Amino acid sequence: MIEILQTYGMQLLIGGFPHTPLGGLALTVILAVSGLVLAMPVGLLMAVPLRSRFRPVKALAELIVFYIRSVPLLLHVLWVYFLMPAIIGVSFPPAITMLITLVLFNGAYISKIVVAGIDALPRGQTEAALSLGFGRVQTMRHIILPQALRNMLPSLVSQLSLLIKETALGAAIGATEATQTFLDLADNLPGQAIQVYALLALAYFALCYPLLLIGRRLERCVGKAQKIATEPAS
Amino acid sequence: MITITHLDKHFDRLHVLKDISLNVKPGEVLVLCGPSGSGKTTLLRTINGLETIDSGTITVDGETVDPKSREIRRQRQGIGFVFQQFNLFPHLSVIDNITLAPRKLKGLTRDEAEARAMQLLDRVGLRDKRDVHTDTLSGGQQQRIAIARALAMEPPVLLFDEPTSALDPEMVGEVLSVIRELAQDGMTMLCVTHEMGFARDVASRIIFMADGRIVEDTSPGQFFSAPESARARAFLQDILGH
Repeated sequence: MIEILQTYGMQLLIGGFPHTPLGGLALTVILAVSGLVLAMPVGLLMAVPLRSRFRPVKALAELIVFYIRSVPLLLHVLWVYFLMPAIIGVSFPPAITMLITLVLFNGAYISKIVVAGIDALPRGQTEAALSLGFGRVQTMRHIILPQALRNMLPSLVSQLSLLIKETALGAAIGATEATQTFLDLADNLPGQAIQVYALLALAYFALCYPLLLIGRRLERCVGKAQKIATEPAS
Repeated sequence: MITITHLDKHFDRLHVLKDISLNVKPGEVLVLCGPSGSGKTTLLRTINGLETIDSGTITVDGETVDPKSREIRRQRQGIGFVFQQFNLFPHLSVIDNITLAPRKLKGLTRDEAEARAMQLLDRVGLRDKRDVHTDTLSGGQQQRIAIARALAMEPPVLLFDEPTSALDPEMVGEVLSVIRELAQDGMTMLCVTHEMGFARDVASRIIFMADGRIVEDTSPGQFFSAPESARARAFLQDILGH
């Protein structure tokens, strides 16, 4: 395995760069990080119609989120890859297609986490804010979201570690991210597939493990805070 | 100051408030009492628009209160509300709990809002708690902070919804004494409570409710010595009799 790393390490890290667009683990990291950064605000935005007081808006949002969550990610990737150019007449490179899909897909999941986090807060928090004269948006911003976000951090972190692993599906549409790069390498090194895939697994583990640790630590912090909050007052 | 005329409210099929009319003058302290389920809390919540009403009108300072109107946010700033469960904001420190609304809604600077908040903390006797998190406070302390938070918007009217019902007995006194002082300072207040001793001392009027109606609207002296209705007599017997 060390031999493979010595010979092909650079290729696994950055793909064919600079002769081809950036690929390999670097592309995976870029996809994951930009996916994480974009999926969060998209999830928050998607949560707004989910909590709308207008029934049709809420129903439509529910339907869209339900659809996104009930169809395999691979299918979404293919839809975006093949259908979007047909509809809007612009085709994106595979990496961008992958990013768009990941952001929408994870946005849908995050929106559900956000809604659950908001609904879990006692109604009294909203009422206290309203009674002081805050409007609905201000109440959400100053009172509800800061508390809800803290409570949903563990779920968010676990969703984000899923997102990192989902970048692997880029291989299906030829995005030269880590999985695709390792697959190519396995083709070129007959008889060494096991070693190559073991390296690939290690690479994903190295990316996700820190998040896992953060998630575990957050869970403990939030758990502690909630314990205090729910202990009988007085 | 507050005028309620022919107010009716249903929760689905349950008729919770029936033809309520009530007039509160500035500086009056009304204690609302009655058996549970009589509509006291719901009535209180309609006054600052936390509950909608089916018919009738509520005016505060001559303005109609309507939870669906654009004015409700500004109106609520003038009607303080203290909850049974305190409802402090657990993600904020004590001082931020008190200053958030004046800063965001009245445009006070942090310094102005904090100076005012410190006066209020003095008033409720919790000056040394300014920077602690609310979850480290006792229930009595939390409720006193909640009163300071409501006062920070300088409302002409304060509504109390069973402010001592969630407290351990030894903490009831500290909260009631804060409310008592506010009454002495001439604050207009409506208070739902089962603390009859407090009601006798502080109230200018007792509003006794049962089954969604105001059954008696009278002075504490009259109410405690010679209640007119059988419902009130039974209620007093239950609450004082043992």
